[in-house]
Formats: sequence, C-alpha cells, structure tokens
Amino acid sequence: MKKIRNDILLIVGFLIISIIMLITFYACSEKKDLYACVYYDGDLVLTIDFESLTEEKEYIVKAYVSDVVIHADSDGVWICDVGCDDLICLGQGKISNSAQTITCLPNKVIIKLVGKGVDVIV
Amino acid sequence: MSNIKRLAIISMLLAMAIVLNILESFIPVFIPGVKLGLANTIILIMLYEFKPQEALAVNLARIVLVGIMRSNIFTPTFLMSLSGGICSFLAMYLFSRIKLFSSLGVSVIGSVCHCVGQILMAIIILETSAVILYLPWILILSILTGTFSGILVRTYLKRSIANKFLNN
Repeated sequence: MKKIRNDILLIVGFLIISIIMLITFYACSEKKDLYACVYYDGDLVLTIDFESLTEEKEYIVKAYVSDVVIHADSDGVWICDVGCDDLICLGQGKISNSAQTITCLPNKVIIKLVGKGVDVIV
Repeated sequence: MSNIKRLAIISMLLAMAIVLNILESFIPVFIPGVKLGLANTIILIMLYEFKPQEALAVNLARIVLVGIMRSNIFTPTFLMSLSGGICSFLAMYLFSRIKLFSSLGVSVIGSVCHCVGQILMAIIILETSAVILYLPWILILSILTGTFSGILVRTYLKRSIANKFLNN
C-alpha cells in the first residue's frame, strides 16, 4: 500500500510540474505585436507580419519532403497543406500567441511567433 | 527445451508490441501524434517478468521493425521514437529495480521520460528550443496515458500468464 501512495504522490507531482510549466509559458507569452518566423532546417526562410494583413494570404515553403502551404490572416498563422503522411502540423491549428508553435517534423519546418521588440536571430 | 520456449514467448511478445504500436497510431488522444503507449505495456511487463536485456532487445527491435514497416526508418520521426524508447526504457529499468514505486508509478515515469526524450531529439533535429512549448501539454497527456497503461500492467502482473507458461 505504501507503493500505491508513492505512485499517487508521483502522479500528482508530475501534474503540478506540468501545470506550472504551462502557466509560466502562457504568463510570459505575448499576444500582440507579433510576427511569424518560419524556419526550415534551422534557417529563417520567411517572416510574416500577419497582424497587418487585411485578408487571408498564402505562403509556400519548399521543404525536405514536400511543399508546406502556410496561410495567414490578421488573427494568426496555420499550416494549410503538406505532403507528408502524419499531418500532425495541420492538427495544430491556428496559432496567435508566442507560447504556441507549429512544427512539421518530417519537413523540418517550424513556425514561431516572435514579439516585434525582439531581434530575430538567424 | 526451455530456451526455445523462452525464445518463442519473447518473439510472440515482440509481435504483440509491433501490432499494438501500429494499432494505437489510429487511436487519437486529443493532440495528433500523441499515442496511448500500449506497446510500452509489453516492455514494462517484460522488465518485471523477463531479463532486462531481453526487454531492451524487444524494445529496440520493435522500434526498428515498425520504422521499416512504416518506411520511415532514419527519418526525424523514427529518430524521435528511438530516443523516446531508449529514455523510457532506461528510466523504467532503473525504477523497476528501485522498489520505490509499483508498476503503476514506473509506467508513469516511463511515459514521462518517453516524451522528454522525444522533445530533446526534436530540439536536436530542428535546432531550436521552441519545441519545448509542447512539453507541458504532452506531459499532462503522457501522465494520463502512463496511468492508463500502468493500470493495465498491474492487472496483468497479478495473473502473470507468461511466467506460468514458462515454468510448466
């Protein structure tokens, strides 16, 4: 029975750690004055100033496995079409907060939202 | 004779782990790409009932064979499941020897280390630390799935079918 008590303490401990991480990420995030940086294989290939867009716009990044079709409007950025099988990046939906990111692992493409006050390190 | 029997059971467990691994990729768990970790229950059961080197062999063979079957061997996805598999195996091996937690706790530790290992590999592959933003979400889910597979393993270990078969 002592082991079961330890198990429950362990589960609660892990849950508390992950919730604290989640809160810290969101508390430190920025919701305005952002632009989207698209990285391919570690290099910055595209920046999108999506907040100034008036209508939906399409961007295409040629990547490792296939082309990655990125859409953006004034609310956020999302991946619209990709040529790989697992389609995990489509399920990540639209991002609009610097605590969020979209990753397409097979294509080695990552989209980050960065505050305008921060210099982009290429 | 007993060696052949043992080999047969281990091969059967490997086959079960592969089937579970492929099956569970069709079961969505809130975030796409997150799996239930049913294949991991086989590895955890083997850690308790077989030798650790046998469990490690089944774990590595499962990852490589599933990689070949999905034809994604040596792609980033494969490397992520490899690093997750090795991290969770080491953690589960360590904690199944230290009698601090029951199989439930060991399963949760394995599942948490699996996703930490995956995120570390993703950071190396993508050369960016931004992937760490996923960690809290995946951690919460992995605690839930780890608890689920831990309950399965506990239920099995009370009956311990493979051992009964081996000793007959």
